[in-house]
Amino acid sequence: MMEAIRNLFRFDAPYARFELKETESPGTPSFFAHRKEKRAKLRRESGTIARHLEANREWLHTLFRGDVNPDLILRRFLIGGSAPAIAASLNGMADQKQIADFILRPAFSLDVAGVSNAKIPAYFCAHALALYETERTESRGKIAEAIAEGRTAILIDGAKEAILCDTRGFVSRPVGEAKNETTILGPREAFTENLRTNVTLLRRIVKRPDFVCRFRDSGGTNRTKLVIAYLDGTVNPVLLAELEKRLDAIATDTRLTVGRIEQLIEGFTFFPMPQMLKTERPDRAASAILDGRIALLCEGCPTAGVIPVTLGTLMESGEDVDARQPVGTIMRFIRMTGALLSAYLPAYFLALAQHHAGQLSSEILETVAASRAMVFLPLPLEMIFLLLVFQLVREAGLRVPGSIGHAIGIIGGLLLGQAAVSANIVSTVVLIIVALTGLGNFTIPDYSMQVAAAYYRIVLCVAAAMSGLLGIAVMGLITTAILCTMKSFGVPFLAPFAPVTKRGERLFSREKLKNRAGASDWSNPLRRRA
Amino acid sequence: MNLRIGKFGRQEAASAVLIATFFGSCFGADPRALFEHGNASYLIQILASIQALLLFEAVVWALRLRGGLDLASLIGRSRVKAALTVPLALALVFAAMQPLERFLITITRYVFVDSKQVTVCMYLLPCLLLLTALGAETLMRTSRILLPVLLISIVGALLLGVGQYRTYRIYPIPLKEPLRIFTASGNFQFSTIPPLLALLCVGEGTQDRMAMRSAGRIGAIGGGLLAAGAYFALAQSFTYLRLRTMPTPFYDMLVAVRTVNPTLRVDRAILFLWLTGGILTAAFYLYAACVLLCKAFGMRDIRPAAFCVSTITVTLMLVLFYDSETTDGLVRAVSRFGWIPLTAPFPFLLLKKKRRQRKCAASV
Repeated sequence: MMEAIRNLFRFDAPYARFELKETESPGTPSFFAHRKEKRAKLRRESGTIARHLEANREWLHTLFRGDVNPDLILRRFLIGGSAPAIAASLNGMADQKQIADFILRPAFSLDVAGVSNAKIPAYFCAHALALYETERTESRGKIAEAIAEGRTAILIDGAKEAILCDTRGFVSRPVGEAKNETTILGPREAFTENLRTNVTLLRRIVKRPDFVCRFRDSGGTNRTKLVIAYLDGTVNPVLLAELEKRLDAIATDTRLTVGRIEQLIEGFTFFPMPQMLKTERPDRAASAILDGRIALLCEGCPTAGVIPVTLGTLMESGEDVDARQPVGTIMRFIRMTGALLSAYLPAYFLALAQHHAGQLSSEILETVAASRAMVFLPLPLEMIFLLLVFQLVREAGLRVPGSIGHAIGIIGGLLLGQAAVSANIVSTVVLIIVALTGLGNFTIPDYSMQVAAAYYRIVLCVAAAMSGLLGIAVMGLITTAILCTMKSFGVPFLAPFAPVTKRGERLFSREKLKNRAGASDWSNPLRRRA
Repeated sequence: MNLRIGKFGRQEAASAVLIATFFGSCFGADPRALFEHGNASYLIQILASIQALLLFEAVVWALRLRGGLDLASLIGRSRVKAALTVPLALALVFAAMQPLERFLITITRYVFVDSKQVTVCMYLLPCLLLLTALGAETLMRTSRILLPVLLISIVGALLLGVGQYRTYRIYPIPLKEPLRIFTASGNFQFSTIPPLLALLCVGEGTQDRMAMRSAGRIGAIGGGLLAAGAYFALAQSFTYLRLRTMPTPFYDMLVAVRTVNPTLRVDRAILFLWLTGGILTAAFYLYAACVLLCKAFGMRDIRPAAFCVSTITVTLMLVLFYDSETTDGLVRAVSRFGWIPLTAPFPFLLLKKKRRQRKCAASV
């Protein structure tokens, strides 16, 4: 109606809305169209290269959409002044200086007299290419993939093989300091977006010959590079096979990161608890690898995923072990208390104040009543409202860069809280409870766990508002049962406490550091700790 | 989907049996019957635990002879034997109702005075249903996780009341009539046998028969001693004349602590913590009943049975509550003589086993 009135009074021509109709997509729409397309693509990509250079050039030009994609560089040159060849690479991905110095320059000066064109690739690799990593291949798929990731493909006229040279030279971020998992005592390096750099960071810590970094592609069309890092002979081979199986099942076209991979391969999708430890610290990932677990690195993602994971490992911080045992125990105890407070304190207070007022002393009751005298919201709504506001401030602080983010936290905390109390929207007692809860939440080291605890406490608050301590007890029991059911890659989430393993570990305290060989026994590694 | 028995270790199984023994004994028994002739509940508890343990050992021995791991393998799969499991399952359902009903009385009488029983039951039902459907592995692990918390709360509650314990309240000890204590311990079997029976039903999930036996022993002895200690503390807190009139003596003990020392207002927090123990106990029995029925009637999915049994239990609880005048006799009869269907099949099975052995020996 409004649109019609607006069109009636407008002077310019009405805007023709763009609408993408089904018939505008190429080909005849049908239920199996995408399958046909997939098969055709497979046919295009499989197979081997042609002997004729022009045919290969045409193929690459079409594949990389050379007419509209100026990044593809197809540099023609003559090897030894007689054999025509093409160096194919992507501008920006490959290092041009390396191509010029170590491929083109030696190619011009190479003497190929008496060598047939079919044998030039092998001869060229042996006598001229001054690059460390080279590979000869006939596969079109491999060539296309290599060019896409920044390598250079050399195609020679009359040869059935192409040479793939590692000339990757794209810009990447240098190794920096961990921003989200900060420690005072431990190392501070963090992973970068470069997969090679990340592997090097791990190798610098795990200096063992049985440390394996297996490179593989993810599924789907984008074929993101992944690295599975583990200790061969220590890690449980069944766990490794299960990870490989789940990774093989990935067939998405979206950009992959460790967080997305976790969602694609996890077993319990409906539970808010994470089933993979995501860390930006190489030392934490290396510790897990040395403990018989597996680290998963993904190209373009500055985070490593560690599997399997348990509640104990998610609540661990690097400082626990770096600090002396008594200090580490106190720190861990405070952290666990903080986590429990963060989950249960608002609901417990709500239950007592709302349903079991007799459990509070008269002094506390008077304080609560006095602070709530002018507040118009009912207590449960006030609590849930404040918890949501806290989440809002937290999210805003996280998304806003640098010092402004901190400022938002302070402004949100101080000004908003003060203003809300002055305006009689919230009471001071509830504000204190929520502030304590927030502090407790920040003691949880893992971000995914923090978020899970934050939303769990709102559910608990609803249960407490409905039925007081009965609701908390029932919700607590249901949650414990669900946690007991949950498994991360076949390992029970509450191991080694339930089920108890032979070498039980502690959750609330830290055991004394001893000289020990082998890995923790809860993931059933081949080489267990005695 | 399957029967979801899973695999569990000795500690988990022992924890489940311990929790069930304690809560079945302390919150399942009828105070009117228990304190009828004097204050000897702690002695009755110990005797009943010993009797239950002896019965358990006999069944494990029968299992060893037969080479089975659980009660279903001992009973077999014929129709008559399947019919034999029905009273067992029903007894387990009644045993599950006992602690829940006691908690229901406490909650509606002391905590939510204005609310109806059906409202409280609506909170218990989903929890029971979920725990029963999730299976033995989850139940055992949950028991293992909650055991330290429950132990701390029980021992803490007993220690809080130390100031008001008076030794003279233990009298009269009806030691002059040992037969009466023995009879009372027989009646008390309805609280001490079900945990071990439930363990026998899910024995397939234990590592082996020895693990099951030691888990049963640890759980029964630990739970029995803890319950006996709690009853001893209770006996020192109130005279038996007062205890007879109390519907929930353990909660009254907590309330008495609060009355004496107003700063220790933890009675409701502890009550609801104990409620989780009661729910776990009930879920353990119900799951065992489901497994028995599923195995006897050849069902391969636990969920329908779990849904039916949980709903029936809660409905029965409500029926007993609302129609207490007519059903009071039934409740008393079940809690007093319910151990008969529980124990009856075992001597029969043992005798049959023995006869078969003789036949085998004769044929050889």
